Amino acid sequence: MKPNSVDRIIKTDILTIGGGGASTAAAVAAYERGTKVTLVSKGKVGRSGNTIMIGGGFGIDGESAYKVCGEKGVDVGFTKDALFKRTVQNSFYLSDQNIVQQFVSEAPKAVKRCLDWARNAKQIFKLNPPAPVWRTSGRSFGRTLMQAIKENPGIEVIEDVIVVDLLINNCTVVGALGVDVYTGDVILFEAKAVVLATGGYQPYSFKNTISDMTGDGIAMALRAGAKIADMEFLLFIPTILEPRNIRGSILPYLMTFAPSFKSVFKVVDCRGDEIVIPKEFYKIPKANKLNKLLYSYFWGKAIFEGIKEYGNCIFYDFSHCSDREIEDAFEGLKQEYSTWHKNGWYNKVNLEELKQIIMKDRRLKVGLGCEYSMGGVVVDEKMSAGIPGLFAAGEVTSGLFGAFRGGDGLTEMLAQGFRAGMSAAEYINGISNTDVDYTQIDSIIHRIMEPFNRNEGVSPYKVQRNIENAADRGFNFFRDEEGLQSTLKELERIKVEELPRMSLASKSRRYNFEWITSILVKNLITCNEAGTKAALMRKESRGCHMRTDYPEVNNEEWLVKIEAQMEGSQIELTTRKPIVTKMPLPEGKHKSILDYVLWTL
Amino acid sequence: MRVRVFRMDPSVDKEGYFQEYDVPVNNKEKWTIMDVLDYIALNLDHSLSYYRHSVCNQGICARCSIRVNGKVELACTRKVVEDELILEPRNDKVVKDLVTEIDAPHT
Repeated sequence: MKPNSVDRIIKTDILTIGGGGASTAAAVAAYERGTKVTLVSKGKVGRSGNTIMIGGGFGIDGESAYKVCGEKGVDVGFTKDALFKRTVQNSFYLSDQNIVQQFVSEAPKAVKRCLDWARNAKQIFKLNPPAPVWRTSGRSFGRTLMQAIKENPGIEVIEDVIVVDLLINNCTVVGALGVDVYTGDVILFEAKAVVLATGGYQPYSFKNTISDMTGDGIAMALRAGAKIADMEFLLFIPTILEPRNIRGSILPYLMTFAPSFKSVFKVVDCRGDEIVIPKEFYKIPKANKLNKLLYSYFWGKAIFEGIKEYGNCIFYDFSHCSDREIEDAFEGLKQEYSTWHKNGWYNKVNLEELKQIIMKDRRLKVGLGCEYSMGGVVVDEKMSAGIPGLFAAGEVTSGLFGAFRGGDGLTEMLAQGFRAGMSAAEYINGISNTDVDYTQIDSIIHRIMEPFNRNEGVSPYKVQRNIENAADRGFNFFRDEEGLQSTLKELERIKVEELPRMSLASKSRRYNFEWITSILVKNLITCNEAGTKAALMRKESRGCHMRTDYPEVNNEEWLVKIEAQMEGSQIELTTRKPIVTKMPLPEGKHKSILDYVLWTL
Repeated sequence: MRVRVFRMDPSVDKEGYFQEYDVPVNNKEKWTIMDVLDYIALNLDHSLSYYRHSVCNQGICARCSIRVNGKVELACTRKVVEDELILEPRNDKVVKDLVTEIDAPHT
């Protein structure tokens, strides 16, 4: 029986949701185990999602890079144990160590599969020994994923469909409901298992990620009854603010470790004062991701102190440089990225044009943009999300990186994606037919259609801006009680005054992105609220959670994960100790996150 | 700046038409066509459809192509340099306004 309001029904064994690496890996793994697999993606596979926004690369332990992936000259002394230790330390000990164990042991084979696809797609993944890290670009990685789909033609791919909610029956996930962005058709997916691979959330107005990181998977899982955790931890990197046509480019982060840019520019705040990172941190190599934390701390602090006056803004200052130094720096950058980009370009940045601007202005306007959320769905080492039929992989999960991702998101999505696909295939073995609950379907459709029925109200576009502005206001890289309370108050206001009054300018369902936005903002506000509440609760600083009013890293009281779950219509928080398998949790306190970082070196 | 935008909902309209908007583009600020469209959608006309889901805005996904003053270009990379803009869909397979039918899905 098909409810009238459903336009299409797709029946499958396993539904993977997402268009990036985690979803593709899960789909391939499940398909190889003889199941019928449908991959549904918000955009096009390999041309959507945060996977294509990557600027760096991905790594594993040195021994496996040699033994499993056949790379010569790599540092085999960087063992699995060393990778495990580094991941846990960088997480400020908030990693669930069973998840780290899964990552360390299953990543090599997953990465090998990815390297094979890349080779078949004629994409260059470059490893510069001795570091067991492959460098690539977003576009190259996207093409690699398209190759994976091409090599597994039995995987059914449904693109440009936004999944609205998971379907539950008898406390089991039995599918999902989606909307085709182009036609506005409502699609019912009936599945024996679902893999969420939808990425993280990004609540701010300033973006360097894909445009709609609204945390759909995290919010859907929460509504379905799953637990989410670590939502207060968001990772920032320096991002271009101006000129406007290249706003959002992560080139300023790449400049911090590009060999040709070494020490060329100084970083100054909006008052013109240089921001100096103390010498004791110089021993951290420039390409080490720990530097992201230092930039958030030192540059973020300078921004935070003047944020009301100047906004999220600093400058890369080249005033002391000769023309020659600037030219050489850009020449190096052009050469470095010509492997993956049109010569003289980095994605949409014309490097020659940017060089001319910098030669003239002697500065580049930069802000801190959020690139990754450490928080997400709580999973076990099989990638099960704690509800029968529901699995999750990649950035949508929590558990691997804790308070700070000092490792590679690409490796995470591959290692977890394959495992989630395998687990889902195993799970459906014992499942015969599943039934969907039509009452739930009717109620979801009723909910998403409501904005069409209102003749006046507030535009979902405005609601999205208001949610983002609320996050900008007090839930930033640095936080304090007052700011967080003000964010939470504004989110509450939006929930009461705006969400129930959303209306649409066009009543047509055809590519009605205002309507799609009305669906997505509910996910964004849920993630934003969970993150802000957790940030208020955590009265200490840890990893990417930096509180001006509680600067200490306080292991005595706060070496716990904050988990969120729905209680009725409310998000309720609880705490628990991280899962320990190997490295005992440290005790005591550190004066600041800087002290903690120095302690780990 | 005067911006003329092609509008059409094939489920209702037999033919397309142009709608005019006044957008405060400052050429010194280096707006992109995507900035112009975002401005219209947020401030002037919420009903305008243009490619906006899962947008990279960095010239990576290459899905936001439209016809700018006659030439097909990516909205997110194309800088506004002229004093007047005519924005049209890239072909005549219009889904709505500036959005055209997608390429064939993976088979």
